[in-house]
Amino acid sequence: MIPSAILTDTPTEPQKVLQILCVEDNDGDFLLLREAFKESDLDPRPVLHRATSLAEAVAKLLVDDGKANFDIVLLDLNLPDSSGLETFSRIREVAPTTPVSILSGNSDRRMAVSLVQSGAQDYLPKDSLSADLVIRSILFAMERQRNRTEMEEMNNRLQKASEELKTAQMQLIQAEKLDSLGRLAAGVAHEVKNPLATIQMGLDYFQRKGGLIGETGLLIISNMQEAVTRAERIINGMLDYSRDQNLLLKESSINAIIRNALALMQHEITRTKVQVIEELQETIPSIRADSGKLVQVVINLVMNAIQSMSANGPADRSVTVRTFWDRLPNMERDEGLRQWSQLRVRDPVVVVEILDQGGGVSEDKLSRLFDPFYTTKPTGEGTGLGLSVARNIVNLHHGHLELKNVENPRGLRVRMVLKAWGDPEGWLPSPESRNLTQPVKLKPNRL
Amino acid sequence: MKRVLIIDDDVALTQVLKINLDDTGNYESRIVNVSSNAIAAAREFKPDIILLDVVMPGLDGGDISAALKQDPLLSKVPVLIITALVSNDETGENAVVSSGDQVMIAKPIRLDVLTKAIEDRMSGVL
Repeated sequence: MIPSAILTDTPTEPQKVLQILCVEDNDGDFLLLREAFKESDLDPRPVLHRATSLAEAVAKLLVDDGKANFDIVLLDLNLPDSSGLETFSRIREVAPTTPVSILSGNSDRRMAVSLVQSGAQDYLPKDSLSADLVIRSILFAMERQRNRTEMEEMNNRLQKASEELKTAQMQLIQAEKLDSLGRLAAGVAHEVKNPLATIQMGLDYFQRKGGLIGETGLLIISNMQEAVTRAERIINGMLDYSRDQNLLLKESSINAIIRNALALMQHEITRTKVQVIEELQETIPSIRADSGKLVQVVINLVMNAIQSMSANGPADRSVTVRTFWDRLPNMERDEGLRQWSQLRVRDPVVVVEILDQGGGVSEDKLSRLFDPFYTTKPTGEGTGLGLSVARNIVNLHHGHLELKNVENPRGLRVRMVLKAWGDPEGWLPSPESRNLTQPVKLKPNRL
Repeated sequence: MKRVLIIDDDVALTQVLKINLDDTGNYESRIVNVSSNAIAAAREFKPDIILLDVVMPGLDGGDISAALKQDPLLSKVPVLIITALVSNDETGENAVVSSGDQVMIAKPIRLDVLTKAIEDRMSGVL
């Protein structure tokens, strides 16, 4: 019986030995190979292990989970439990980065050559094994495998870079589209306002001459007036969207901004019988913001929340507005991250969340909600510009606005993340904000 | 009866504007649709107030405004700029916004808002 592992020398430094797995069921062939190594002065020194079946070879290759435990496999294709291509494929499968040199007899020479073409590093003719040949082949095989691995890594990097370029290109195209859309919007707004002004003036005239046109006439006038008002609202939304927005940045309190916005909406909140639940963290850092613009954003977001619940019964009509602060989690590169590029890991951030009970938005529509002119509201109720304007404003603050469906109750959660002004050294973030420390995607909390 | 000079290239708008203003019984208005004729028309008409559009072919509202200030006969005439370039969101509820010594009112305009702005501008409130 031939021992399955033979130390040709006792290695003093384990990292400098060459671990060779010889998969060979024929004792004679194995002995020949062992002799070849004995004659060699290979550096690093080779340690020869033996497997006599495919199953044994696989078991040995899989010992260290995920780590290549052999530097090279010398593989006889015809084993008791496997033969030919199948042997090679299985070895490749369990040790994809370990170089394989095929030990071939006369009968399978052609197969060996074709395997070299399809991924094996070399082949050794068993009938003419010499020390020189084996060593040369092993060195050659290892070098080839190294090159191959490097090439694969390079290829992977290239592919990744190419994908990133594609993403960046898409973003540029999108930005370009929005930019030209913005300029178009401004032009259209101006051109449409003049005829609207004429119609408005005409309506004013007929309204004052009400006695002459009768009740039906006045009804028509009133509908026309409403139409003009609606058209004007849409156009103003377009102008807001397209205008270069210069921010008036001042130290501001996010809670004050929210209270201000809610106060301005009091009439709408009362009218729609919506309960607004304020969960504002009182110990919260200030932000550098254009508070007027952020009030506009909050009004817009809360208004969306209210409108999403118009079909709900009075018991299911609540909007939760929450603020808290935390430190920005450690995030890996991610598509959403480009938005975060102005924020760095561990930066203190102020977070605003607005949660409704409006049933949420289907995932395919969710991604489109920020597109200008896209709306899920009935015709005439939404201009489709609110969220895109809101996001523009938040982006101008170098912040981040994101939407997510949440459960219990089912609805939409809008989250606005803004950089805190100064570092609240020694302050503790609120416990409910723990989820912010999870990587990449911010998850819904509590609800 | 106050005299109102309307300088705007939009023919339809200026017509209804004139009809409405004249119809109140408080104003006598005249229209100028070609801005290069504006200064000459103003000198002749001697308005109490000028309603001035901004975006016009040829001389625009800025050019006219500058020319009015240069003109000894017209430099004291109050001007109300009527423009589609500002939105009602910016002007607020009274639809009027002041910038420096200029007062702007946003198109489209309600007649009551316009007449109030005209009165305020003439009396120096705006």
